[in-house]
Amino acid sequence: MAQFVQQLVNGLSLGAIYALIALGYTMVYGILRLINFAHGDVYMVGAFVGYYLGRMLNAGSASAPPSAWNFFLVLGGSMAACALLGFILERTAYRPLRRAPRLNALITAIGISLLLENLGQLIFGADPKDFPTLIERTSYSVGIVVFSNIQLIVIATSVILMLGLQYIVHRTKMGTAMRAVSFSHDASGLMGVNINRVISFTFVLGSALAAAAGILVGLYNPKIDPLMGIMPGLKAFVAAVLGGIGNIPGAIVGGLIMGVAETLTVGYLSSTYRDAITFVILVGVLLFRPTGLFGTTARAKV
Amino acid sequence: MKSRSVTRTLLFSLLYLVILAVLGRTLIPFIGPYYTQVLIFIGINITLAVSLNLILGFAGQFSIGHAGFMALGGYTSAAISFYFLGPLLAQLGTDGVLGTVGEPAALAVALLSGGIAAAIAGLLVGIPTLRLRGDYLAIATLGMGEIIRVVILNTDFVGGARGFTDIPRWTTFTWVFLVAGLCVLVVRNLIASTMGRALIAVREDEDAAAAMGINTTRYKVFAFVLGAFFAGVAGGLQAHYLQYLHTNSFTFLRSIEIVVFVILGGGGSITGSVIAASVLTILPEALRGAESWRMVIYSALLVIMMLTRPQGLMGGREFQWSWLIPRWRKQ
Amino acid sequence: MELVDTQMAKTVNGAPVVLEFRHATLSFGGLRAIQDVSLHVGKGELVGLIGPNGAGKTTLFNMATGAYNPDSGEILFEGHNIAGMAPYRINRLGIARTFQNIRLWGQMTVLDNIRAAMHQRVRTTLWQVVAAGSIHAEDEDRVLDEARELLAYLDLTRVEQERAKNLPYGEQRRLEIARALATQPTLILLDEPAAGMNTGEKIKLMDLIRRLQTERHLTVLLIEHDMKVVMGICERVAVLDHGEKIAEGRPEEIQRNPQVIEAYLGEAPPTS
Repeated sequence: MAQFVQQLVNGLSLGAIYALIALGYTMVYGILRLINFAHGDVYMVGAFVGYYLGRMLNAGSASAPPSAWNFFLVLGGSMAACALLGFILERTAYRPLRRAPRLNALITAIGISLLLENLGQLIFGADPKDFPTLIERTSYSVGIVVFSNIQLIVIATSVILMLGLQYIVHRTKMGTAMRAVSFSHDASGLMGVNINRVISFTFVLGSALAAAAGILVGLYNPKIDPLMGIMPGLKAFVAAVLGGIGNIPGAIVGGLIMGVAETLTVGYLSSTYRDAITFVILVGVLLFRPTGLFGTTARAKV
Repeated sequence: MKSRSVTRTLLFSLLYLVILAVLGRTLIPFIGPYYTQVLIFIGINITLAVSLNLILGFAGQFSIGHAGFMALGGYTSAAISFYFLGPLLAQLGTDGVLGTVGEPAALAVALLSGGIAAAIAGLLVGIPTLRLRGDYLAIATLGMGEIIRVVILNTDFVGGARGFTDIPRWTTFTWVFLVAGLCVLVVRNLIASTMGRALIAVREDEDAAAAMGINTTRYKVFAFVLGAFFAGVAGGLQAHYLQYLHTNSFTFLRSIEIVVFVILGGGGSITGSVIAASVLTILPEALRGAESWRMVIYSALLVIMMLTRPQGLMGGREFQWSWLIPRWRKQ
Repeated sequence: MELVDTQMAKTVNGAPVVLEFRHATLSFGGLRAIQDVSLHVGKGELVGLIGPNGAGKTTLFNMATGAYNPDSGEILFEGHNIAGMAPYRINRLGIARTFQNIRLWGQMTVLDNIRAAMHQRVRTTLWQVVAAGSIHAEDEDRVLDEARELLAYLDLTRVEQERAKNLPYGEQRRLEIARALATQPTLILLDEPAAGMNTGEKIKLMDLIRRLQTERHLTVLLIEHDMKVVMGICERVAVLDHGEKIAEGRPEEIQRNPQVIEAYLGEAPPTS
């Protein structure tokens, strides 16, 4: 039983990370009906920006010992940088294709993803790097269950960011605009909503969250490399689909489920099936409930 | 525009076969193993590109897991050759008729098995997933490709994580271009026919097609199965050339490479696929040494292409003989 | 696909009923699009369906062609209950349609649009086509000849090799009709075929629709906003408003019906 609770805790912190990435996928899909294949690589860039920022601060060494201050600085810096990246990607690659056939946008997204990965390998180098220590790792035990402060920080940061997102989406004008645009571009435009700005904002928001996920993973799992975005990106995407793509709470729930499912599979079955469970869930969802857990089937007008 | 006569097709096919046989005897030994390998991969990639074009370009289905079909075909044919056909041939000996006919016949059986295995996968995957549209279908095919790969990875009698070694070397230049030619012929005939037009109608407007009595699911599944078949055969050809298979050759990246062939050549153009597959097989060889830049250039090219000329090289048009000879040009 | 009603009702002029809506109802979420509509069309009739924008006319068409499933009620075609049947099956039973927003297969040529619609006339299966390639040239030639005949009937021979998306608007509408005819229907549903046409074109269209009825022995159900067209060719007219049938009868009666006039007064006067 303790083993199970342990796995659950591990799964939830992993799931929180997937949820953060999944939010970006779901928001962009909700607003553009586009699967942003490059989103997982934005997460990777976030981790690397954090790496270089941490290096600049000399974090982890004697002159800059691990501290909350370092953590927030790096987190903020990375989120800002990736927000900018998301903005640029949308402007240069996705906006021109807004009226183009769906396939073109899909292919472009795949192309951008490959571009980021390969540029990353070229610029950062293909070898894994060690993420600087921003926070000293300590463990706590409750009964026989052991968890680290890092896991707590991951979960806490994720929760705060998600609450922030909920606030933006439901309590601000921009958030209402986002929800309107995801229903109908034309209607919102006619109501005076600046579609371009809303879409840019969505990308910015999603990318910032992905960057945060990258930093949190850096705390958790110090080895980072330019291809680290591929699997988590895919898993987060499946999480978004599981929750009902376009649905924000769905992405969060989906992410947590994916994290727990993966951890349990590795714990109780075998680690070779770690990635396979993702695909099984994906195919299962697409075959039996394509609209996801929280999605709604809409009758299309002919 | 009366349809081609049977005799004309047969004559051209015969001519093509003769040319292949001659080239196989003369050109191939002359140019050496390295260039032969390039040619063989051109042929394999042509088959992959044209078969995917049938699904993606002509039927308009977002299939981005083509490498999965290739893997299934490759591994199935390799297993049949390794465990059954190879030993059979060894037992029967190589004198007389069997000497010349043995290997090609064995390869034919192996390739056919690979193709059929892939086709069955196409059927099993196609029927449920072709209810999905657009991006959802893309993701489903992607997932399918990965599942196939992971299953093979965990199957020990085909090598699993170590890879499948010692596959008999039966693939020749002639074989590869025989298959490529067949693929082009079959797809071309299908597309030019009334049924082919109905398939394109499904791509252009699926609801209107249904309203005109076209069983869209059936047509989509058919394109999927046929495309998967040829991908499987291509996989078999690769297996019997490299004599080695590993699931690392059949990742999502490989699927995307094939998608790039189709997109750059222009969806809905067989000519485009042939040209793009050929050029993009040669290019990496020409760019050897700039390995790290190769993928960057590739992906940048893809993005630029989509932003500037999404219809690809041929823009959906086909090569016409009349382009070569002005006098044949129709009024 | 059961034969629900072997005893077919007679219409006023004694012709058997071809298409019948019985208390059909359809909602989209909270919106009641079609409310308890009953309507029948007799064999060989030319019936008009009119009403203000948003009344549900196209929705009724969509229910008859299988795009939508009625929430309750029945839709009978030649005795069969077709409610909820797959669209391609309904077409094979004999209903064809044109669309309000032209939905041609744009990248294909005019001729190929017709050929694609004639897919049922090729007696070979998909597998045979692939395996035997061009052996079935006779089938293909026959399809080509018939397709060309149809194009000639609709005066589209000149643009046979043009891509459908490049055609001028009026010709696109005619092509949609040709395409629907290519599926050899017994009932044809025309959704605002005169939209966007000038007077000369409309006169030609009216003549064409009449000829569809007389020369091709088709039953025609027609949605139209142009009252001249409706009054000019329809034998009977049904009026929808807010998803309900508010009137039905001969064109002259409908024109004088106060409820109909009021329904239209809520918006711009009908083009006349």
